[in-house]
Amino acid sequence: MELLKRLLLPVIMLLLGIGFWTSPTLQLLAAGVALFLFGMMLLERGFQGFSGGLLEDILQRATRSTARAMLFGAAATSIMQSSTLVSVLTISFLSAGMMQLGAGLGVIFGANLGTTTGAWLIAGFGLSLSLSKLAMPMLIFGVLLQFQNTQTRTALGNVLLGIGFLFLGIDYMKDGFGGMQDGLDLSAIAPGGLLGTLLFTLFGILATVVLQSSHASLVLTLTALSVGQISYDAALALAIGANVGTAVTTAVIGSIGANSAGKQLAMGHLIFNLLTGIVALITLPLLLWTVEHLSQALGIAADNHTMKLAVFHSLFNLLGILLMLPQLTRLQHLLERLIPSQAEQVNQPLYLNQAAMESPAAAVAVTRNESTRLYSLATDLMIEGLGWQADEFDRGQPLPLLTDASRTAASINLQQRYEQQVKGIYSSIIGFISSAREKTSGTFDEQLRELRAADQHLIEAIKGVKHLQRNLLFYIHHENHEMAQAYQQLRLQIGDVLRTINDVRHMTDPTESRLALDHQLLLSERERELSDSLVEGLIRGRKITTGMATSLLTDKGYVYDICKSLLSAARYLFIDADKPQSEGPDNLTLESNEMAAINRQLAEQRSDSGTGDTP
Amino acid sequence: MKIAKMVKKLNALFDNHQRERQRQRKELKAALHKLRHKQHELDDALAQCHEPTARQALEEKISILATQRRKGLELLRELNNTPASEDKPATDV
Repeated sequence: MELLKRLLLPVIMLLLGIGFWTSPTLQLLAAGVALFLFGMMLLERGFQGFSGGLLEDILQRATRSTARAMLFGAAATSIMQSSTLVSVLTISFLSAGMMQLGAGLGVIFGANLGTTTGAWLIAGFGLSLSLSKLAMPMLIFGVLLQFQNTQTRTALGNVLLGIGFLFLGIDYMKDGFGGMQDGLDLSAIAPGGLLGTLLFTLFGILATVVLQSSHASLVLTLTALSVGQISYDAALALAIGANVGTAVTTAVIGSIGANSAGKQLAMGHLIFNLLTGIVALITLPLLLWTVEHLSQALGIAADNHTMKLAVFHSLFNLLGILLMLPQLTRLQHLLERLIPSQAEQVNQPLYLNQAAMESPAAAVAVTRNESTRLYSLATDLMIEGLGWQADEFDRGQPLPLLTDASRTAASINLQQRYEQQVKGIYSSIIGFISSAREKTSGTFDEQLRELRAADQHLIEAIKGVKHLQRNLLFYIHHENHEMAQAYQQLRLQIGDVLRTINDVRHMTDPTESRLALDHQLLLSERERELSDSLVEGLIRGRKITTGMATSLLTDKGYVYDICKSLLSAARYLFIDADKPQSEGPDNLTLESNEMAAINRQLAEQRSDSGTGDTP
Repeated sequence: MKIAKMVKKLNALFDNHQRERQRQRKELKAALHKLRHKQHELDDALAQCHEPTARQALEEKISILATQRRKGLELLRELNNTPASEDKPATDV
């Protein structure tokens, strides 16, 4: 099997080489297909360049209802002329949890209708005009835009180049089929009747799977039909096959790396297109009758088979939508039953999946979801390590009233728990971000960098608690009242920070969220500044030994670092998820020296007002 | 005069650096506006608050906002003083 795989490409290339040597027209036709596919690739790359925000914004807004999702699917595919790109983006959005399955199916239904506009454009204009003349200026402008250093202009350049190569490809295909007119009659190869129809349908499926584009196989069909290489009936069967083939392509792409939601959509697409194809084949005579009457009504000449094919293509796709739309909920349930949602697994990522990498916005969304999950796991671990119960803490019980589980917490091995519950997820996030950043740039790249920083801060906080835990759990029950109180205070300081972050998670105003975190940072800075004098006072008053003092000073340092790490992680995770913090007004975040200055100023004000009050 | 203005606008369209600076200025102005609004809100809350701990927290937050606004205004001044700046300086924040 491995040998067969390795030999496949050289054998195909050899066969094509022999074919080109013996038939110049075959060379022309193959060059046309190659140029067309290259154009499709450039077009997709161009539109992916725009997927740095605009496309995702529209996709998210347009998919709030099934009707809107369908309209979006139809419009986006009409503009981009690639149902595969729309389907892959939709799968990646669904995998990232940014869209519901119903809306995703709506987009796919719409995309199927949108793809029929390609047939209309080619049958209407592409075959009657000399497209290579139109392609020239597009290629020139496209190359000029490639020299620009902004992403939008390069993307626009790719779109223009893509359209240019599509046009050139169509022209070459026309010439190729034109040259073959005397040498080859495809209609003579296949048998007529039902067997012929089924054979051409299968051929349409195969051609689309090989070319990875229903658009390409449809253009081939239209050009072959326009020069009489294939009969009208065969062209209809090929169009049905192309429709099924595109779903097979998406199902294959969708099943690679997507999570259960993405796979459900890919399967939904396959079921929808397969059923539409079967219905179209069964009702072919009825559809043909309708096409004839519709064509007459639209003023299409009786012998204009390419336009009639476009009418047929739209009609059977519309029929499929009309049949499937009332069954949408049933289809959804069936898909959920066939491909059940993944259950949460310990130490395994829940949201990360390869399909999300297809769109930068989806990659950021899944990383944010997974990092938020990591935050919850990490903080639960820390809370228990500090001698509290995580569920009681999360319920919002006031800190002094929390059950003290510090005696049992001594047995909690934080390192072991970290390795069992957190490390696997953290490693997966780091791996995912590294791969995703290869494909992203600008804002999304910055967001991924910040999310990685947030995760690192969380791990640093866990390590800090691990260092603190031994002394904390020892001194919190110590007979020395001063030490017990000091360590209780340290624990409360971390508790306060965690509570503030919990509040920030529910805030909608970024200014308020930033202020809450900055306020906690101010308090942490103050605690650090006061710690030296506090410990010195305790030593001078002979309330603690110097050994205790060194432990307390070191642990106060750990607590400061833990609080700072948690606040930094929260800043990246929970404030204004739409844009990176570095791009926002976050450059107004105050440094440690500025916080110290505020604390000094406040202390002076308070001492002034205190002395003023004293009679 | 109109042509000169048009040339400047065209220049700004193709000058990434200038466009970036304009964007920064705009965002900074918006951020400063929000901070000022928040500070006023907290000033009002402080005037009505009589509980010492809550008052202390409010004072601390107001101090943070005041320092951030000062820092922001300095940044804005720096942005306005850089050469090739054609926008009117922001004084209404």
